Order: sequence, then structure tokens, then C-alpha cells
Amino acid sequence: MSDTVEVGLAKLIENINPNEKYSPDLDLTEDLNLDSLDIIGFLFEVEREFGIKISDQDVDSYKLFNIGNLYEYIKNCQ
Amino acid sequence: MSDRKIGIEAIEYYLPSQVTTSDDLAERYGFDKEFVEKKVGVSNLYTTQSNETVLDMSVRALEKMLLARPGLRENIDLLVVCTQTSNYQLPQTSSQVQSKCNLPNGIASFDISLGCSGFVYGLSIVESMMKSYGFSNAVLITADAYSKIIDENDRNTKCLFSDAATATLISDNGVLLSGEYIFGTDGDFFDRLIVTNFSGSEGNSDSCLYMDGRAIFNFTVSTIPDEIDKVCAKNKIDKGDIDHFILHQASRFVIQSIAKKTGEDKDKFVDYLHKFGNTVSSSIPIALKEFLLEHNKTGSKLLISGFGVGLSWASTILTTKGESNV
Repeated sequence: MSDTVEVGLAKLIENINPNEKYSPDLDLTEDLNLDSLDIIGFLFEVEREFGIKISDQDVDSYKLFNIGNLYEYIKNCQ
Repeated sequence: MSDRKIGIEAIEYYLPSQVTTSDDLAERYGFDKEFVEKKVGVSNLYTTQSNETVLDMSVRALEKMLLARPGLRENIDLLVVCTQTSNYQLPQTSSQVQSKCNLPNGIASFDISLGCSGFVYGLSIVESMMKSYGFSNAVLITADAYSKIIDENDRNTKCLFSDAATATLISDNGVLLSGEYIFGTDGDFFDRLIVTNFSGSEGNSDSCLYMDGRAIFNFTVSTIPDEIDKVCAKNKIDKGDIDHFILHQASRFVIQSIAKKTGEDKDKFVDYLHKFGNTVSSSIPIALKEFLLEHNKTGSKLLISGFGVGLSWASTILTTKGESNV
């Protein structure tokens, strides 16, 4: 895995659930079982890891609960 | 400045009688009860009746203090009230407390307008004035009734905040001695936790509290762990030597996230959210009182840190002395 965004996301996902691997199909609520507060914490870590800001509007517009969409969003921000 | 060892001698608090339970919150706002209790951290929230005000709560907290200490009433030199939900835009609440509690006319009194950083700021102001002007006894009151500014339909704030007031006596007989303070402000985010047009009247959406939960979370988790390091450095104390961290009781999620960032044992982070909810500037003095009832040991180092509205933050380290029940 040489893609830095994928590596970074994989690390953050592992922090939540060590048994879960990176996959574009993962959903923050359905697969990672995150509640609303966990998601706030996860997005904070994503912002820190990749040096970006994610607005609430973008979370909805780009459907960022999906890891594949989040990956693309981070790539576009960089 | 003198070298007097001024500190906290006593803390009393007042909670309104109207209680909302996590069952009530879960049913009314569609949350899981487990989420409210385990993640938000709240089991009981206290709400003033419609005719009970911040002034009433302030007077009740102070009267508890005065009742337990005959002779104190006539010997208070300084009264500071920290609130942002006072009965009137003017005058200040402190003058009404002076009148209602029959405190001397020779007393110095004023309000400070701060939210969750208010107790730590207030303590530093009181101690400084006592040393500068030779005052013997000072009382710091914290009081807020967020129930009066919260939109009944905003489940994020409605499931978090409680109304409360505290009265803290600061004197030469203190059993909690403060160290060096640090302070901070970031007004760039002033509108992340705001009431734009509070008039005390209900039913006006402009008078309701707006909280950007994500922004506030990001601020606290990115700022407060570093502030903890800074206040330890300023006091020349190793972070590992802090016995307990008594942070503003924002939410369990916030406290646990800060704890994780500091790398310290999470059990060192005091949590009374389940009993009281987020009582704004009263959360630290209430937590101090409750904590010292359970842990009465001389020489303990307690790091206190308040953070919130402004955005504003302040921290210091308290050392317990002798019988440290307050």
C-alpha cells in the first residue's frame, strides 16, 4: 500500500477497530458502527492527519460517511 | 503583591429541583438511553422553574455558605459573580446578591461575563484583588441557567446542559492552594457558541443558544491537551505527577478525547457529568466539591482547566492542604 491517503485512512480505521481493514465500501455508521459523536472524533482525526478542513455541508454533499467518497474528497483537497 | 497563601476554603452549590433523566431525554429526543448515559455522559439534568432565575440560584448557593459559617456575612470584602444569563442586561447580578443576602455596603462587587472558563478566571481575579487590597474573605459565585436560552427542540444542547450555581469562599484559611495560571482566547470562533439576542424572553429563536458541536470539539481537543502541558511547565510539575485532572465537564466524549490526547491514565480525569450534566462555569467547583468529599488527601495536585464560550480557556494547578474537604 503506497498511497498515502489510503495508508492514513487505514491507520485511522484500525484505531477504531483493529480487525477492520481499509475498503472503499466501508461505511462509518453501518460497518464501523460509529455514532454521531464518534464521527465528530473521526473527522477531527482525518482533518489532522491530512491537514484539511471538512465542512458539515461537504459531509452531506459528498456523502463522506462512505470511506471511498472520503478518500476521493481528501485527494481533491490535497 | 504579598506572599499570603490565599486559597479555597469552602464550596457550596445549588441545583434547581426540576430533574430530567436520561430516560426522559432518550424518549423525548429519540436518542438511545445508552448513548445519552455513556457517550454524552448524562443521567440527570437540572432545570430552573420558569420563575426561578440566576439571581435566585446565586442567592441560594451563597445562603448555604453563610448558614454554615456564622459571622461570615458581615466579613465578606469581595463578591464576584460569573454569569452570562443574568436577569437583566444591566444592572449586574452581584449588586442584587449583595442586597438579597444583606452583605455590607462596603463590599467590592462586580460581574464577569465568561462561560466555562469563568471559574478559573474568577479565582485568579479574586486572589489577585485579595493580595493587592488586603481583603480577608471573598466569594466567587458561578451561576447560569442555560435552560432559558436553549431551544426546546435542539436535542444536542438540550441533552447536555444543566442549570446550577456555586459559591466559593476564598480566604487565608484555604485548603486548596492555586499555583500559576495560564489563559487563552481565540475570538476567531466567537460565533461557534453564541446567543445573538438574549432578552430573557422565551419563544424567540434569536434568543436561543447556537452551538457548533464539531467546531467546539475540534477546538477543545486540539487546544486543551497542549494547555495541560503548558500549565504543568509553568508550575514546574511533571504531567505524570498530577494526581487528578478536573476539567470543565463539557461532555464525557470531550473529557475522554482530551484524556486520550494527553496520554495520561483516563481514570485520572474526574467525571461527574452523570450526576449534574454540563453546568457551564459551575462544573469545576461542583466537581471539586464532590471529588474532595471522596478523596481527602493532603498534598494532592489537581489540575483544573475551564474552556468554552469566547472561545476562552484558563488553567491552574491546585494543591490540597490538610483537611481538604471544602
